[in-house]
Order: sequence, then structure tokens, then C-alpha cells
Amino acid sequence: MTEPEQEKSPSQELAEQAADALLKAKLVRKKDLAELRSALGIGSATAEDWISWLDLAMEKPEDDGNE
Amino acid sequence: MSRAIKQLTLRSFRGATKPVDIPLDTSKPLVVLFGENGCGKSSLIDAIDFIANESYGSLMNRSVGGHRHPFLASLGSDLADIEIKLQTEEGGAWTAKLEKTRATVERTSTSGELPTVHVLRRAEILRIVEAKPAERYQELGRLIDVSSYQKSETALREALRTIEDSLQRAVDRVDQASSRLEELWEAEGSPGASAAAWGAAKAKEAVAELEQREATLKSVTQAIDSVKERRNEYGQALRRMRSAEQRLDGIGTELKQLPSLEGADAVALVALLQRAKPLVAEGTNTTACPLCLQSIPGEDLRTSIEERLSKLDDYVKLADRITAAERNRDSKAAVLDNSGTSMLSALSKLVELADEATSEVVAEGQSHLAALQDALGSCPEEITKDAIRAGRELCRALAPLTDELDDVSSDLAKHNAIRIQHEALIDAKKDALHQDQLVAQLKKTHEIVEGARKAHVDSVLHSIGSECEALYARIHPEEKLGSPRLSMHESKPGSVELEGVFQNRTDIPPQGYYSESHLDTLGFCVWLAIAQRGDHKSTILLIDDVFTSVDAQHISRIVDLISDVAEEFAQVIVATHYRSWRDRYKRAHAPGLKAQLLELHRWTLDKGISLSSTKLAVEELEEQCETDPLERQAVASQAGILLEALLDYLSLNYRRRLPRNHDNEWTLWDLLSACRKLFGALEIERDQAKASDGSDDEGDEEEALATVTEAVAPFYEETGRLVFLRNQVGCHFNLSGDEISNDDVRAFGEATAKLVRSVSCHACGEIPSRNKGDHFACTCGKTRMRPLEYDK
Repeated sequence: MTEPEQEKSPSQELAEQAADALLKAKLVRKKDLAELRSALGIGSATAEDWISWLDLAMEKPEDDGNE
Repeated sequence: MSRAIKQLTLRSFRGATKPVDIPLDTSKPLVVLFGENGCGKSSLIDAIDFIANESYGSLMNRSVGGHRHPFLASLGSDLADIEIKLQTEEGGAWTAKLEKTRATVERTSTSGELPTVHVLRRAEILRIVEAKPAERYQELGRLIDVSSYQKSETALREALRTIEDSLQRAVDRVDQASSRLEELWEAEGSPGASAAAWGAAKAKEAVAELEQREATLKSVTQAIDSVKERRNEYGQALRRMRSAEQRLDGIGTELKQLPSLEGADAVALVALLQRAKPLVAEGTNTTACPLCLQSIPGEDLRTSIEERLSKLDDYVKLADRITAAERNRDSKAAVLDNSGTSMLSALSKLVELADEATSEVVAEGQSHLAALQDALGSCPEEITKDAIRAGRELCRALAPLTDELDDVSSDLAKHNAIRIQHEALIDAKKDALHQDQLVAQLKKTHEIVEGARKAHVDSVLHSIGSECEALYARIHPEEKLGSPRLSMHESKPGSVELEGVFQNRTDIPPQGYYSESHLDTLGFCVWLAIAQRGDHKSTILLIDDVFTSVDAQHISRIVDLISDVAEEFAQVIVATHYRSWRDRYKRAHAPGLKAQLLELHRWTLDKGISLSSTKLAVEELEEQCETDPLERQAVASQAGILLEALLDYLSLNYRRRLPRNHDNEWTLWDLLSACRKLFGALEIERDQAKASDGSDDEGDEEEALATVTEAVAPFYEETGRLVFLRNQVGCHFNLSGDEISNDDVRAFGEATAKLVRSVSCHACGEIPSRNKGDHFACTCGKTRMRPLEYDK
């Protein structure tokens, strides 16, 4: 049995859209996407988190943009 | 199973001066809570708001001249007595109390989720419609709720400020390093194209040879210093040795000057006597001289030795001084010997290092070096005066090496300073570039994140606006005002504009021109449109008597609208003081089978809030007909009212002709005549489940429906035949009425009930009245009435 999918809050829905847009603009890495979505949705992303995600995307970009 | 409220219990809360239980019928999506003003409707709405939203409810919209929470308790109760219990259909149960100033809600069940509850009061309507754009944004923003997301935006802005600060610091470091490098460059005469280019070239220069040279020079100069130090130590040791010898010689001279009786032998004699003293000491049982073995008592021996030593006292003292001086001389001789060895070692080390060093100074002092090597070679085990002299000469010759070392060290320090500043400049530039890129990325990120939120909010507002427009058009069809639109203010962030149509203008702020009634319905439509965006099935809507200025026609449309949307939500609870609102359901003008009707009774301090269920009028009539003894007058009266309400409703829907009169009030007979022909033409179509044909179609979940068409004329004819009873039994006193039998009265009641049921939907209870183009339909759509128009 699988858990029934819970309805997303506006913040979560928005977080997913924004995170996808940031990935498309190559501002964040795909491997950080899940954490980013979650933190954006629940409002737990800190200034340090943002700097870290962007720093990693600049310093260690994914080779093919997927992984 | 839904999150609809199944049971609500109030104790000592607001108007509930006595505990009150309100069981709700969760099979019905709508609850109509009717009560005249001051019966406690708002107390019930506030109780749900308190437990679901931890809110003070309607008190929040009132100024009470101080804290509001004391007024949550009912009159005569303590705040600690407040208790609200709520149970949902799906099994959830919660209890709310007031702790200090806040609601505390405790779950008392193991399952179920607390429903989301949206409450609409007049204050909310005013906030939505009449508020300033920024306040409206706050109000809608709360309902749209992207606050979690906005926290991340705040963090992003903080990150941007942090990195901009870091960038500024990195730029300052670049300036400092550049400035310092410039100074060094200028001190060197500004060689090359620029300080930066010079610094880069200098930083690349090899310094290993220079460092090696510095190390060698340091070793030689340290060896020179060591030789000098050892030489000083040696000289000092030599001086001390000589002094010790002179002191010993002086004591010898003093000895020679003593009387010659016992001469130099006296010193030896003293030593002998002092050595003998312990041999004859008390307790040794000595009986003979230890030297000559002559038999002498011990006591005599001790006395004799003491007397002789006493006579030789000067010799005794001198002997002690000689011993000390000899020890001192031996000690100084040992120090001198060590010093000599150290000196020898320092000289050897200097020779070794100087021999390996390549320097003009060393070359020039080569003869002194050779002399020292010779001196050391001639007596390798002991320091000699020659070696000391040669060492001194060599040190003098090599003294300029200190200046040479200073020059080399200075060159190295300069190089290091240039390299450090160059590296600092490179690092700072790299850091500044990185921070600058990060700032750009953060700005882009902020643009995207904020843009997504604004687009989302705009989209939500547009969607709410569209839905609101559709809802508003249902309440105000074909009116030259409406089409409300919500939009973000283009130049003022965080502002929501509300515009609508008025006559030919499309950009009117509704609060400027709309009537209070239109503003009420507009606020309601905005609120409903927002509520419809959420998770409907877990949401309960509470509407607390908000339509105070809306006329009967619009109220009927609002009732229809609420009836239509109620099934989308877990539950809709409407509190109203409009009796006609409740009666529309009661008399089948609205889907009464889909609504639970509750009536609040007169509130008193002793009784508190009390309420009871209201039955549909047709059910009430049927029950009265079944009851013995028969309440003749009640049955005839109730049947007459129900029949009149039906005929009035149909004559209005079909625009039947009625005799003109001053007050637009018509008798039952007027209505009967107006509708007689209509009933002959009316047909009711009902969707009914088909009888099972025995086939077992698994997976086909849709119920097979058959349409049944029924004529209503026979029911009308039967009712019409008995309608005279309404006046004779139900309205007036007359003797002929007494002659009418109970059976006839009962038959009139039953015929009226059948007539009402014959035109009502069996599923939702409503008489079809919604224009569907070629017929009228009920709310649920399962029953249709034809024709749509009838003008004969």
C-alpha cells in the first residue's frame, strides 16, 4: 500500500516551481534540489543554506547538468 | 468519512451559561442555524473558531476597552471553566480550554485531523472590500498563505546582504594590498610597467640561493659569536683560577709566619688529632691510645686531645682555610678545563664553517683561518694561547660578515614582503571576484524566487478574481455592475487592487459606487472564491449572519449559491437571522434534504443557549396527519400554508396572471385559479436507479439511471377538491367546519403533502426552479420540471 498523496500547501507548490526555475537557470544543482524544495516550502532555508547552494553550483557544477 | 463536525459542546463559553450539546447531521453538507438576534448564533460560530483556529472569534473585531479574553467566559463563569469539545465524523475529537490568555487545544482521539475552518463575519467582508490595497494584500496574503516561502525569501535577502558585506571587505583588502605593493614598488624606484606587474615578477623570482647564503652567513656569524662568548668565558675562568691559586699561596705565607715550634708539622699534627677525636669519643670504651697502644683511660685521652687542639687553635683555623682554598682552586681548575674544551670546540666549529663558506670576507681572512687551523692541529686536545690568539684574529677578519648577513636578510625580507602583498592581492582579487559572482547569482536567485511568488500570488488573485466574478454574476445577473477583479498593484509591492464595473466604467473601486448590499455580496464572493482554492474536503465554512442589507431576491440567489457549493466542502454552517432563509429549505424552495435546519430559541441567563431541529414543512404535516388525536386545526392550517407557499412559488416561476390589488397579496383561491391550467400541463421527470437485471457488471460504478415521467395534475385535483377545508377548519370559526370529519381533514393534509412531494426532488428536496434552457431543474439535477414556460 502506498500513502495517499497529501495536498500541497501553496508554499510547497510555490517552492517546487521556484526550485525548478532555479535549477533551469543553473543557479543550484540537481543534487541539492530536494533539500531546496523542502526548505523553501517549510521556510527553513537560512542565509547560510542559500550561500551554500549557490556556492556549490558555482564551485562544483554538475558535469551534465543532471547529476 | 469527512472532517465534518458531528458534535459540538460548549461549557461556560460566551452565551453558553449552561452546558449545551449540538449534534450535527454529517450526512447533510449544509447546516442552517436560524435564530433571531441575541439567541447565541455567534457564540456557536466563535466556539468552532476558538477550537479550530485558537481565535477569540467575533471578539477580535470589537473593542472592549482592554483585554478581550475575559469576555470569552459566559456571565457568572470563570475563565478556567471554559471548555469546548468538538467531534468529527471521521472520529477526531478535541477539547479546547483557555490557559491564561490563549486557547489550548488537546486531541482526545487517536485518529482524525482537525478540519480547516474559514469564518466569514461582516468584519472580514469589510477587511476584504473596504481595506486599503496594502491591507487587502495582508488579508488576502494571510488566506493565500505563502508565509513559509516568504521566510526563505527573507533568508535569501539576508544572504545577499552578508555576501555584499564580504564583497566590500574583499575589495578593501584588494585596495590595502595594492596600496602596500605600490609603496614597495616606489621604494624600489618604480621599476617596470606597474606595481602589480613588478610584484608578480618579483614574487616569481627564485630565492633559494639567497636563503642558502643567509643560512651559511648566519651559521658563520653565530660561530663567531660563539667563539667570542667561549673566549670570554675562558678568560674569566682563567682569571678565577689564578685568583684561587693566589689565595692558596697567601695562606701558605701566613703559615710560614706562625711560631716554628711545631712548624709545618703542626698542620699535620692538627689533622692527626682531629682524625683521632672520633676514635676516643665517649661511648667507644677506649682504654688505650690508638696510635701507640699505650694503656691510657679513654677520659684521659679525650682530655689530652682537646687540650692539645686548644693550644694549636691558630693552626686548626689555618688548616681549615687551606683545605677550603685547595677545594676552590680545584673547582676553578675544573671550570677552566671545561671552558678550554668549549673554546676548542667553538674554534673548531668556526674553522669548519668558515672553510665551507664562500665569501670575499672569508677569502680575505684565509691566512687567519690557516693560522687557526695550524694552532688547533698542533695541539688538538688542549686549548693553547696560539689557538686563542689565532681565533681572535680570525673573528676580527670575519667581522664584516655580520654586515653581509644584514644585507642578505634585508633583501630576503623585502622579497617576502613583496611576495606576501602580491599573494594577498591575488587572494583578495580572487575572493572579490567570487563574492561578486555570488552576489550576482544571489540577485538572480532572489529575482526568480520573488518573481515566482509574485507570479503565483498574481495567478491566485487572478483565479480568485475570475471565480469571484462568476460567483458574483450568479447573485447579480444582468446588472450593470460587478465583474470584480483582484490584481497586484503594478508599482506598489504588497498591494492588491480591487476593481469592478459600474455602468460603462470598468475600473471602478467598488467601495466608491457600490451599495452596501453589493459590497456585502462582493466580499462574500471574494471570501468564497479564496476558500474554494484550498483543500475543500477538509474545510468547513462558517458564515456568521453576514447579509444584513441584502434584499429578498438576492438572498434567494445567495441561498441557491451556498446550497450549490456546500457539497464541495466538508461542511458549511450558515448562521442567519433571516427566517425566510430557513423557510426556503423548510418549504422545498431550496434543497431541504441536503440541509440540517436548527433553530435557536430565546436566550436567557438561566437557560443559556438552547436549540432544536426544524423539520421540513411537508414532513411536519405528514407527522401531524399520522398523530392521534388529530389536531384538526393545525393540520388544516399547516396544509393551507404549505399549499399557499407552493402555489405562490410556482406562480412566480411561471409568471402566472393574478388579479391586481393594492398590496400584491393574493388569496389561496387566487393562486389556485392562476395555477389550475398549469398543473394540467406540468410534468415531473425523475432520475431513478434501474432495477437490477441480474448481470454482475463489476467495476461499473456508475449507477444505471432510468427517467420516470410523472403528471402532477391528479395530486392537484385531489388537493383542490378539499382545499375549502383550509378556511372552514384551519382559519375561521364557523359551525359548518365542525361538521367536517377528521378523515376529511386528514385527507386534505395528506393530499397537500403528496402534491408538494409530487413536485419536489426526492433526493435533494427542492422544487425544480433553476432555468436549464428547456426545463427547470433542482439543485442536484435529478429532478426536472417541464415545461419551462406556460402562458395559457
